[in-house]
Amino acid sequence: MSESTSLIEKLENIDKRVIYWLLITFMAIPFISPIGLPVTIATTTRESFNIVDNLNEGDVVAFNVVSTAVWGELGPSQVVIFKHLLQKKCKVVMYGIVMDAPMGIKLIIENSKSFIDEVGAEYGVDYVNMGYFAGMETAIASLAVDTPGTMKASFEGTPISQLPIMEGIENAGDFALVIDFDSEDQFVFYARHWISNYDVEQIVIGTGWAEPAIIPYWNAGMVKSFATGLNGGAGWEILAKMKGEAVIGLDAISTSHLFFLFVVLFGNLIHFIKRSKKGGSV
Amino acid sequence: MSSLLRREVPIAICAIVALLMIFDNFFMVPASIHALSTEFKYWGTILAAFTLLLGIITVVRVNIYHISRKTDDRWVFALWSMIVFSISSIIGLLWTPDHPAYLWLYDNILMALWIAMLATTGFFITSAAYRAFRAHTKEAALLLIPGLFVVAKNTPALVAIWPPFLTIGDWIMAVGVGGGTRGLVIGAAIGTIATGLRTILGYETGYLGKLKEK
Repeated sequence: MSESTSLIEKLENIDKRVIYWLLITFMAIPFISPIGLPVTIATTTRESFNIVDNLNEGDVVAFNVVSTAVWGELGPSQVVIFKHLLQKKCKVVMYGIVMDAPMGIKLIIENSKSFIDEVGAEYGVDYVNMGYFAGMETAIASLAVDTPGTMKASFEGTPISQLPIMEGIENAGDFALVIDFDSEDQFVFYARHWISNYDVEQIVIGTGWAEPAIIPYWNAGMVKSFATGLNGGAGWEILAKMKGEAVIGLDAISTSHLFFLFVVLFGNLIHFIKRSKKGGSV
Repeated sequence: MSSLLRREVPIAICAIVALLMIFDNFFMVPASIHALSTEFKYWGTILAAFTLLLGIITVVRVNIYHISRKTDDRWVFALWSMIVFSISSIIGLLWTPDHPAYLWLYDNILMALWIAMLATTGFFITSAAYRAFRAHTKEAALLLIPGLFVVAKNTPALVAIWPPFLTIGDWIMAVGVGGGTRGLVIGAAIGTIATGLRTILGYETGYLGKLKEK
């Protein structure tokens, strides 16, 4: 076996731990020393931003949070959109159909504390934590037909009759917009029960892997627009002029994705060299 | 138990409820029918809440089984699982989930573990991509090239250097991926309608459990 063939085989069978360490290094560099790589904003993110930006003062928005398991990817988006809604003086009804929704909402509120004080938003009047609703699609269907019958009290136990934010809310048609933060396909439930029956507008803020599932519903108009991943959050932060964690994390997205591309291209290069040495065709 | 109670009655209940839901969703129905349908939706959420309780009971049973039998390699984890379960349940039940101790447990243990577990997939995917994402054949190359464009579209620095990455990536997502997913969604919907019809008509009885006489 020639020396070059041996090297190629070594590279082809490189220990996975080397890849792990290189990836960690590439992701860590921007956090240790921010690079400030350029940011681009997707058209759909811009459209989603405009939908929220065009809401009127006092509009009630259904804010369906996602599991905190994907906080790293969607946490910053949830925080900046919540702040954007408060800035627009909209009413934000926060809830979720995942078990840890109440905790996720607490985190969003906690991360927006100074902004809440700044705009003078009041709990129960301008925003509220309605907690978790079991039943996935059944819960969404139930919320659509009889919101007060399903949302009987806030997470803390305050009856909705004592929550000014819930005044006049009877069904899904009383919401100006539903914002679905999603790592799976909850937006489909809204498409079936809120959009087709009550003609509410829906935007989806999804994880990167949710994007392929969102697209057919976006093509069909059941999702007005969407923003995905940390890219979407960073775009929103820039448009809203509220730079936060997403913009900070975006350098790491660029470096890790560049490393991923390099790894795939390098793997293919090694493959082609090996093939050519053996005289095989691809 | 007679066949009537074990088979016909459950099928009839299922068919009536299903038809009620279909009519309420697709047609203008009297208020009383709409109210009944809404009531069933409440029942659905209540039943779903009970399944959580069932989940808790199952977790406790399985762990106690492993602890009591000292199952190899499992009983220690089962014991640890029960300790953690007991601590968080006691704190949550005694002081409500608003208590700082409960919030601390959630923010610093559970959430951190969840995020860490999800984040590790990024490492596995990168390592797997190095070995598997190769143009071995023309078909593999056809998958590889659009895949790379989609990764490039999600790399802000690359899009800033060459903006067409975004246009090409968006086109692949909207046309290629969108078309494929649409086919999948339509196929699943047709399958769901067929299964629904079979259930309403009583041909699908899997949800009734074993029907044979012992």
